[in-house]
Amino acid sequence: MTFTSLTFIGFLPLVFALYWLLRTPRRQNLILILASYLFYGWWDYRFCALILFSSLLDFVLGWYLGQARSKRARKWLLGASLFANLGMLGLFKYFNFFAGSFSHLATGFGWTPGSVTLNIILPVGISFYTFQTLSYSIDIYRGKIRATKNILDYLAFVSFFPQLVAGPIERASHLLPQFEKLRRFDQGLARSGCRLILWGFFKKIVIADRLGVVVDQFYAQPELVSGPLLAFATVSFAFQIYCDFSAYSDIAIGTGRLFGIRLMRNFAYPYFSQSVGEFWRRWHISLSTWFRDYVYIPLGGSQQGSFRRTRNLLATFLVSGLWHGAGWQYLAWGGVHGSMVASGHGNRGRNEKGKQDAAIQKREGGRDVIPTPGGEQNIPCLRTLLNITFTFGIVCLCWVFFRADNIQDALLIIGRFFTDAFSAAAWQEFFAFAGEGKLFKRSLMLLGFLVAIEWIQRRKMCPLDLGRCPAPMRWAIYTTVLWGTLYYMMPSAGQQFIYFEF
Amino acid sequence: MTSFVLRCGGFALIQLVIAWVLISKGLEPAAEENAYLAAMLDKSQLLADTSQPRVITVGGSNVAFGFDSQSLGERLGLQPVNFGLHAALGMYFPLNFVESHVRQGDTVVLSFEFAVIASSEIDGNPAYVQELLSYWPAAKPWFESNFSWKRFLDREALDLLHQWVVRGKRRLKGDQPQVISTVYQRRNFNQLGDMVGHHGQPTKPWKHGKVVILPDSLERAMLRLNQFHQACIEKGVKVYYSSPPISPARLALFESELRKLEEALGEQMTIPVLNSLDEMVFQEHEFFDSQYHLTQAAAARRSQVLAEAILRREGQQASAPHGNWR
Repeated sequence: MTFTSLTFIGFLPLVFALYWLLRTPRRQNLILILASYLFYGWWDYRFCALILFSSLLDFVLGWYLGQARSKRARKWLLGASLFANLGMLGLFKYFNFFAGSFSHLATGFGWTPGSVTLNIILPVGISFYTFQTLSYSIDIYRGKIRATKNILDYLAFVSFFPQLVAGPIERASHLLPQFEKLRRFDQGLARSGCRLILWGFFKKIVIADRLGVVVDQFYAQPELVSGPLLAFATVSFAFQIYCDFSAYSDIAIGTGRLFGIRLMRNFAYPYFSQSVGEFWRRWHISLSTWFRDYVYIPLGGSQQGSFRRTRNLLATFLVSGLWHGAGWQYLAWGGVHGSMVASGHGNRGRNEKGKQDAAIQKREGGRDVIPTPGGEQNIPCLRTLLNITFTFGIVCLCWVFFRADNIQDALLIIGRFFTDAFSAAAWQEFFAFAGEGKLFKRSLMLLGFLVAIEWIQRRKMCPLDLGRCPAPMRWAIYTTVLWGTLYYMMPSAGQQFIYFEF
Repeated sequence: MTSFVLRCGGFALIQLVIAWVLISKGLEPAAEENAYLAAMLDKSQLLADTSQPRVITVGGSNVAFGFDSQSLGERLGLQPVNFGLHAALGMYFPLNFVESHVRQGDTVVLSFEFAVIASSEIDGNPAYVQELLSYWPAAKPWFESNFSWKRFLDREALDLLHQWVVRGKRRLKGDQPQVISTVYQRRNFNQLGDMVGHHGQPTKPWKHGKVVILPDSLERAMLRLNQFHQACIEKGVKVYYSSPPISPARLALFESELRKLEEALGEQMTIPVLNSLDEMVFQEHEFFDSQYHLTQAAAARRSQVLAEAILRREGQQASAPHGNWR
């Protein structure tokens, strides 16, 4: 079931009503588990068996991990959890990629192995819930949390439907305790959830899907398209993927709030970042902190000199690239980002501003308190503006690897950016496209609107949070956004979110 | 909780009032005599009234704009019926309707747009289906065999709502969206079902639509096409498939998808394919206002190519030792 369907719009109030009619945590969790399995099984009922298997396995291993006293036994149990979860992920997501790459490599050496590929469907969301269950086992092993004894709490934690298929990837230490106690209805939380849901729908249906038309048009055959148009398509893709993915997170967080569950913030206006390092503190926060805690720090983090720090950063970003997809272009995307952060562009976050930001976060002690991007002034100073533009440019260059069908196409597109930059014919093609139709103007208008509203409202998590604005005006704005979303939606376009593929 | 529910109820009530105004306007049927989709009433009547043996061309607007039925019929010695109207009516409606109206000795030529045979348009666009049903409620059974509640709620319902809202807003402004140009009108079809409203008019700029293959849709299309073929064989009706027209630029742009589709049709469909994709390539200036709508001269040429392909095929069959025309 996808969020942007009438099925979900009918499903949500029904689950909401049933959930709040119940007065014990067990019953509330049971309703959530049933709703979550229905939500997930709506794609394919066989997926439910997979998530149930994954959940039960980690529940049992976690329980034994909690009981085991010897270090050796604990290591074996953790190893079993890692093997099972990563093995499942590897089988479903990476087997064909590695088999194909091996076959290709072997052919290069003159040996032609038989083609071994599996005709398997990638279960939606497997990368997300596998990481969530993994973090549970690892945290028990590290002694950060205690194993839960209640299977219902645990099943609700793994399968909680708002964040099941595309995150945020929650940690057991944050989410599990919320399922262990009775949830009481919090009107303020529920209202903020509704605002997030509405804003998410708008971003996905109006902005992401519309920009997707531009992107698909030019990325389909990049060799036939000039550099300026490819650059425009790349900027459009940057906003398409942001609006698509952050919309999913907004709807997930908003839906969670309707059930009294606080999910962690996943996006914090990443395109206003002033360095690539800051970008990664604002983009897909739940994943980047996961990799920081479970890959980068265990590798040694930044503790053992600059060489090791660089190596660890590169390894972490390469794994992050591979997590996004089984393809060389994703590895390249991760590699370029890792290089940028390691080479120092990410270190600007360690200057005074970075330290102040870190201090604010530490003082507030909350996950959702993330410093205002681009400083506190309404009109940014020139240096801030240049930093933001430069960082955005680098991020866009990296997106080319992410969006292109393969490495060759990505290199061709980046080459075109530079070779066509001074070509009169290329610019003529661009201006012809710009002048000819509504597509360009509408895309520009949407981008302008999004950037302006996010900049103005960047101190708040949701741009629709209108503070002390009078109620009739707030309702008028919400009504306009709602009907604007329905009016400007792209028919037949919004059934899938990009991150479902990962 | 009560306060929240009351607030939500109040907000929902306002939205319901807006929805009622917009959607009731959007649901008002268009002036039937002019609406493009209302031409289906005439086409169904034409199919019922034309005597056998007939050559029936079936598909979306690529068929409506793409044939000179008079010359096609004359060349084949059959009574022509052009049963193409709009890709947004999907594949099931025309196949269901034609299947129940064909008789022994008829020849059916299918030519569906790529989106109809391989992706989102296979089921038709609910808004267009609703519009057609508002002119012709009796057509409902031809759509019903394909209805799925799950698909409707998952995919089509929001699209339908969107169409109603867009149409409702336009009607509130006083526009008449069904009569979108002097060409797209019911009265611009000739007595054989060909669109002639654009004859003699200058061509207009158009864009290349994306070609997407959704394996699930393609599989369903193959299943229905093969069922249709089987039903026609049992009735003694010949069926052929012909690719819709395509421009060289569009072919180049989506060559890999189109070749895959062509291969799938050749391998999985039991209906004989009359032309390769390359034989249906028409130059950019031969398209009137969209990637499927041919000009008068190009439509005449397509009819000629199609007629020759059918005659060639039937000549081969006549000389084949066991007369298996597949």
